[in-house]
Amino acid sequence: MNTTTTTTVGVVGAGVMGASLAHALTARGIDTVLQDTDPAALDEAMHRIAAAGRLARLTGAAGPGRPGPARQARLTGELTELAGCDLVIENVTEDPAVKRSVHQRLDAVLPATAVVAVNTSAVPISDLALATGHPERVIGAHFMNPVATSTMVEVVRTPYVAQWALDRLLEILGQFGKESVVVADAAGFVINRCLMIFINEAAALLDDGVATPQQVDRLFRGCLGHRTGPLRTADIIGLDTVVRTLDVLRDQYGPERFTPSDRLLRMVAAGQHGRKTGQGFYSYTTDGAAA
Amino acid sequence: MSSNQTAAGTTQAATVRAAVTRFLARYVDDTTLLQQHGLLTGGVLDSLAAVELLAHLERQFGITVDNEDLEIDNFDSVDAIVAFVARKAAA
Repeated sequence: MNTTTTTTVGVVGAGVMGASLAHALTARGIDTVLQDTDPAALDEAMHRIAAAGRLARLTGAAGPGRPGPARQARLTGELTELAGCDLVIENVTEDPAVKRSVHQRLDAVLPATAVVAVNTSAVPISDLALATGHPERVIGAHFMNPVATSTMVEVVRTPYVAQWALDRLLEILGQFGKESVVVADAAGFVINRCLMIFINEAAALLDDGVATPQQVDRLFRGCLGHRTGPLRTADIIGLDTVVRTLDVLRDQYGPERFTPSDRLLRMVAAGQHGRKTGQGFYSYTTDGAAA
Repeated sequence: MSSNQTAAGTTQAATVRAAVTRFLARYVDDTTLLQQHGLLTGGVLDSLAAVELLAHLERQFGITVDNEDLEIDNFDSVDAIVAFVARKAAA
């Protein structure tokens, strides 16, 4: 078991979540290595980390209570640079084949004492764990965006996980200021298995003429106490990611339970992916009003 | 301050208020929520919208939001944001 007191965390994938994770880790004083094979993604991540730093300062998320002074994330294009990490958090795209390949390559460079976390919306963890030579150290860790201002992590335990690995992950999450709930491994886990049904049905009822996006989201906030409604949440997640997640759930549970609605498919085909493209269920362009 | 300066300041504040309200309207389902305090502390705006607000204020009004400006009191209501922009523009 790894008993080092100085923790180094590797983050694989410098997209929205990877950058948010790298920011939150460094803001907590944790040594962080951010890896991506795309130099442009690493450049963009630096901007996202700077923006996340402003947010944390504004909301006090980087305030007192952190274990050490803020660090600077080290950026690299090589997975081999993660060899010294105690924990590696993988955040590549929601494609099981891509994730499997990354985990096999990670497994080859990490020492047996390192823990590997899979940050995924829905991909089953066991399949990825069993594709490596060390399934005992592969655990699901579903972080919420933005990471710095979200206190809870959905941790996913497979039947193959060693207790030392789970303990080590929870210990590092504690250093990171996160609470966690440990659940069993089934596609979508708890959050996305439920949330994706809400989003998919909310999108479908727009086509049925039942309500507007604003009405749907106001009802979820006002009646159920959700912080944001399902359609605005979908805009934040990205509708392309929502469709990919629904595809994974359909493959696991069958098309009668999870098939992306026509509305979602049309919007993704039209490039309306939510906030990141300026248009989703709502408009985020410079002079746009809510859709 | 002359009456002309007061009128100009009032007009500018109204322009800033309209622009800020129009920008923030994209992030809320009910625009009446923008009239209350607690835009950030009350959860009216999510954290990603807060980040985009800072960038928008810099672009739209040609101001710089410095680290020492990142206080919740400067951004927790439309009134506070309008006053903040006026202070930065006058500096």
